[in-house]
Amino acid sequence: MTETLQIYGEMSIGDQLGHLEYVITDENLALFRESVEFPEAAFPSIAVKEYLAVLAKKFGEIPFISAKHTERYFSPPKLGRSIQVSGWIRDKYERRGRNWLVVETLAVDEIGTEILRSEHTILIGAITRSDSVS
Amino acid sequence: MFLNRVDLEVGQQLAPLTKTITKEKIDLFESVGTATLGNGSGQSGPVNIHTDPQKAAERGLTEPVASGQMSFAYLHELVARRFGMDFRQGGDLTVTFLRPVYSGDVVTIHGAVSSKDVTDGRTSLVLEVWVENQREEKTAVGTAKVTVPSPLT
Repeated sequence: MTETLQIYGEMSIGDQLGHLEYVITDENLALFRESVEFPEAAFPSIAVKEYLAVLAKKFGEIPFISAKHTERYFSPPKLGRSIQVSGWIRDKYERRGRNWLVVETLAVDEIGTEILRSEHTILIGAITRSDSVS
Repeated sequence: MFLNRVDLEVGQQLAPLTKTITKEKIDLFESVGTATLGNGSGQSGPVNIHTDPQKAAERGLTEPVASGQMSFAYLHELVARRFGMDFRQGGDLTVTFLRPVYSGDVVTIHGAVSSKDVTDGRTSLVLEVWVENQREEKTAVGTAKVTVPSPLT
């Protein structure tokens, strides 16, 4: 827990996080659609949890619980195209003794088409039964 | 399948969806990130608080919980089934997670129109959306926004 709080202390609003790049394939699209039981489900995001991946690339794995998630959609991704995701710390604050972080991501494809923008609000640190978990 | 006609009025509900949560579905959902991103997923492979009882116990949980992103995906489906590309091009969805969802839970996904505005031939809708478990407890609540036709088309 102490280490987690030290890492949290090192974070600053505006910090650039890790960069992701992956390709939408028939296989991973089918896997995603099967996992959410929706044959027309779009991709990326959601199961890929880009917010978590970009954070982990910069700071390693940190225990947290998810409180809120927002996605804004611009264009569905195309099969076979590379998706590039950048992320940064949108906000960081303490409320009622708890440490909160907002991670923002932007996904674009290889020709620069914006796919989606997301914001994910997390509570850093320990989990108790009374907390929501995601 | 997708109906883009905006015949909904304030107070009307979308056709609800029902999903039964199983350990197999949770495990499958968690496998997508690692299958797509490999070691860059930041998700400890498929072994995490969503899939592993010991990892869950280390975090004070009695059993693994479904990721809130599963609920998010179900809410996305609810709106996408109705509005299709108009939602996927210019729509947005915000969800707050309230309670854990466990294997064995049966969740119902709801949405209702909370506001409707027609301007310059485009209809903008705001929907209140929520996920409810079999005990009629809300596990997630949120808001979806969609304009028909999408301003991005």
